[in-house]
Amino acid sequence: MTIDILIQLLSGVSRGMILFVVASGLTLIFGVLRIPNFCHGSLYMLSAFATYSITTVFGGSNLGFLASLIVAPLVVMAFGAAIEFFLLRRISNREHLYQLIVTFAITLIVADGIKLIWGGSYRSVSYPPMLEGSLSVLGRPFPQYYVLVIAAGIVIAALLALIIERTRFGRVLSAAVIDPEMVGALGVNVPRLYTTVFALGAWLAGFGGALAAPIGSISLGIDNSIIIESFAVVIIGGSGSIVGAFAAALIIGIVQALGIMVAPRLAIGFIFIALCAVLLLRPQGLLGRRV
Amino acid sequence: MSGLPITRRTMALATSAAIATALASAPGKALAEGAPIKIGLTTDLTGIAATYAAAQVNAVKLAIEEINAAGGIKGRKLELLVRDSQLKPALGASLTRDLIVREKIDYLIGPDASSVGVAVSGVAKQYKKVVVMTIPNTPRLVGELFHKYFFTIVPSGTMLARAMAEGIGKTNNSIAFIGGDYEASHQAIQYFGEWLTKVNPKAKITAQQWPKLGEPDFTPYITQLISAKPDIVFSYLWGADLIAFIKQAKPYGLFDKTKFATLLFLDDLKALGDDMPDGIIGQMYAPPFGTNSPAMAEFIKKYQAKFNSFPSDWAVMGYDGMRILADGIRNAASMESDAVAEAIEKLKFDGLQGPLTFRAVDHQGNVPSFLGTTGKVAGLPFKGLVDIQRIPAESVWPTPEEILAQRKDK
Repeated sequence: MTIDILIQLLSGVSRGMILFVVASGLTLIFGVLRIPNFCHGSLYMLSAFATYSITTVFGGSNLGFLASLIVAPLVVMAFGAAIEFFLLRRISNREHLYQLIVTFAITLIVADGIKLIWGGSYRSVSYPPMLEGSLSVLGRPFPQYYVLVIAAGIVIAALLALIIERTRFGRVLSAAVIDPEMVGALGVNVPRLYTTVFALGAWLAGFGGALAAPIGSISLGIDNSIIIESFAVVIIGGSGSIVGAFAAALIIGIVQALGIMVAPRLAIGFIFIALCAVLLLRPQGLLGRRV
Repeated sequence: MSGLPITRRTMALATSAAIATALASAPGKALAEGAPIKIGLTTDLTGIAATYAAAQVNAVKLAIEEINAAGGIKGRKLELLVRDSQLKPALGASLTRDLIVREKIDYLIGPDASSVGVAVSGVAKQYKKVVVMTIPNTPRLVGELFHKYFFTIVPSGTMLARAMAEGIGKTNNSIAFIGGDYEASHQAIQYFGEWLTKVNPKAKITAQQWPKLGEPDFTPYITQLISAKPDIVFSYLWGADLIAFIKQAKPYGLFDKTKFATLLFLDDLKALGDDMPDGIIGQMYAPPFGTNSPAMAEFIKKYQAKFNSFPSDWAVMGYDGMRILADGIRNAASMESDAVAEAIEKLKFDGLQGPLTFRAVDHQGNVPSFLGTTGKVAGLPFKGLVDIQRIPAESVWPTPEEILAQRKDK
């Protein structure tokens, strides 16, 4: 029984890590630009499809996997920067509603674009050959690939924390969360900062998509489930908080994994129960409004 | 329209449009004999079932092309009008209504998702249009929603669940279930459970898992299924969900620890390729490799040549569905819906999967379903089913009494 719980816990953690990678981008964009970026899930989906194409070219080798992990997020980052520069920047002083509508429109455009390029059928990317087996955890098999996912999540979290706590960019970013006008008055090029943050957020969505591609299936619609869960992470963690997002993603992953053991019929609801609890008890999120 | 100001210009436009329509339709009436027979196809080209709809449209087009090349029906060509219902029942109903009222289509061929199938069947009943369904299979269609213009050549949810119980129930005593949390899988486990008590009273369904449709991560469910230690897992996952489940379950060793039986579509086999484990028990609707006949071989060749992809279950049923509709129109005394429905009911159709007839009580075609284990099949670019077993409709479909009882209950 204890081993069952441990294995369940580990699978919850690996799920939480993918969620964290994607949601950290969303929370950065939400915290700094104040844009509820609805198309974040589309960036994730785009990256997953790009991963499919890249690995298909390489024939499912380790090299193809590494190439996809590097190239796909970069492609998505460029796309994200273009979205911010050509669209969102033009309406940055309008109400949130307009930004919401534009990002929502992008989700539709990306979905149709993917349908045009890749067609409507679902796809599958194989695990890289070096990670397709499993390890033994207390005598139970645990997928090697998930170890990579957990490691990648921790590395990304550490890097983001380092950037925010230890670099000038991070300090400017933290300041922009609190008072963007003052930051602008102090001589920081705020529009460029916004493009950079949006691009970084897009890269994180892309990295999450590339990382998740071998685990599931790649189909139109994978943007929906990830965007809902990512917003839940942002709300539970507190907008703009990387540490909060990390904690929230872990909580969601673990609560869902352990919840299934207790009450499988309620599995779908756990994430929303957690969401309601946070909104009622601590509406600013677990870790306030700090970056 | 009433809100628009009427200017001289719009009046002129309207008048010329009216004249043009009159001119265009006048010769049409005179040539009614030679005018095309319009077939309406509302299907889900967008959404999680889009792949199935695409194959259906392809196959229906192929059948129509062949019928037209052979001179059409009663000297008239067939014309296909396709609409995208996007997996939305309300949209499916309104598009179908529009096809009937505005486009004046003569007959309907089936949609994709069962929920849309229910909506389309309702519209067909209302406007007295014959509809042949080739993908939807909720038992409600042949049950309480049945009407005389409705025909289906899809093994119904009841038939599939019973066939699965026959296939795996006899030799396994503890069965764990996993299925997407929506109507069809709740029906599946209910009918499966009912049949199981007949097949093997000792057998029990020991665990049930209900992930949501489109669940990206099945690992918590997988570890739970493993710790339940069943003799076999019965899965009602399909499409993208099944692919994600299989890929995630493999490194956990689920397939080494327990037997696994699942609903399986050819599209899933295609997408998974070599990642599909061997030895999984798959239940399929109408796989082309399930029937070894010259007609099927010819169909596979034609379909591949035209669409550059291997035909799926949906293509097989779409192609047969269109030819059944065509035969019905050809055999009917008139073009009226009642005459065509009567002709289809009497039809002895020579289908890709063998002879096919409809029974009067629910217009269910006596179509087979298939059970087999996954493995390499010669001549197939992806894995297929080996040791394939053909389950005739007659052994699993509900008796007419059961159907009538089902209708009375509602």
